[in-house]
Amino acid sequence: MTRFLLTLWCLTALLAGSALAEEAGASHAATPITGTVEAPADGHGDAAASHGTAPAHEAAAMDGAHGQAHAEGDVGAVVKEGMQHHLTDSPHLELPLKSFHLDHLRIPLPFLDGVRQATGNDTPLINWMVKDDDGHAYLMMSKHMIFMALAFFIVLVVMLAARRTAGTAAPRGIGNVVESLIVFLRDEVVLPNTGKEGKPYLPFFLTVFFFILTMNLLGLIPFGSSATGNLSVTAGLALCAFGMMQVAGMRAHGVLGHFKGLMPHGVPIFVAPILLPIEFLGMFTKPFALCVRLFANMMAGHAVIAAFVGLIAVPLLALTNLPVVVAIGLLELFVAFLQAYIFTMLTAIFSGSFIHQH
Amino acid sequence: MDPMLHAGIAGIGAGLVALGAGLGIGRIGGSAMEGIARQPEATAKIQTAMIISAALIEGVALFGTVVCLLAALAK
Repeated sequence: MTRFLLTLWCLTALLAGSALAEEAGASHAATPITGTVEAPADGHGDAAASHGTAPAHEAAAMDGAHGQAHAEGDVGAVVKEGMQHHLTDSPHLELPLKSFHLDHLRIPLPFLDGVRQATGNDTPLINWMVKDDDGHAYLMMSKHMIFMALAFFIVLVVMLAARRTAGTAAPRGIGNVVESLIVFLRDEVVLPNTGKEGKPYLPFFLTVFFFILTMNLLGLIPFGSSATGNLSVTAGLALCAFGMMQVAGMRAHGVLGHFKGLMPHGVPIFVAPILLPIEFLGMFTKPFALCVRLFANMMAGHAVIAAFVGLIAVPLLALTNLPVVVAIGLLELFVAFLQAYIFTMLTAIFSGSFIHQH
Repeated sequence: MDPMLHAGIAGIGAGLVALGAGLGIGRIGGSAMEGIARQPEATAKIQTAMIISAALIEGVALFGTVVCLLAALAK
């Protein structure tokens, strides 16, 4: 049995590797990098080959806009364009047989036309979302937005399916899984940190956990990408966590009491000029750390995988690199769960610290 | 030459980040194991606390890694 599997592994690895090498060496024609990327014809089904087809896109895209960079010997640009294609957001959605251009799915934003015309097309912050072709502002669709919507629907469907048996005396199936996760979060993560007053906020923590978990896991399937590997997405999540912390504190102590509570009891008044700015700044650095931690963990995992697959210059190297890629994928699976848990737990801890002031 | 210089120094930085993270998480793992050895019935609590601390320190390490990546990809 093991010999059969080993042979199968070697064959698929060699085929995947040769597909990569063929794509990379095929043409140095300057095909535009935003052209459709056709996946090489292969009928493989297992994880090794799926990892193999994804970098085939990368290899094919590599030929395009930086055939010139290759010629100029600019290693940085080669690395950047080869890898960034997989790590950052993009206006294309790539599926096994077809690549979709999301440029055409755009929503006009007439109230932002003035802003767009004043700032031009290259303003970093709004360059992506609000783009100008004909003098008007649009909200552009992107790959990560599609995957965020997908995560939303998955969580919705899973929760609706779980409602049948979860909460009853004998939960079965998906309800069992969901209920065990929810009970774990409620009894080990949220309530111990926020106390009884945190019970109304439980839906928020559960939503955050399952949403982040689903987004992280979607990055592990072939042709998927984790929306949490995007700084803007994690910034939005951190903003929600920030709002949660403020709301929790203000509902427990009132708006003024929330800020007065930044000074612990029994602390001499002359310490206040030092302590208050630190505590106030801490209110902002905590969500910022949440944002960057989640983003960096997710992006780093994908960057390592992209780097290892990118090292396959010759088909034979696929034999050594792809097992490493699989192993790192397993580590990423663990990190996906862990980071969702850490985000939820830290938000609960911070909210609890504002609810129970010293 | 210049982008490669950026990338090279960023590589050294990333190595230092890994060094720091390894030292920190190694200490956590070591004291966790000592605690479990002294009191096996507290294993679950110690493990949970260890995983949480390790994730936090890894967060800091990844801050540094992201900075190195940005430096490597700078023009």
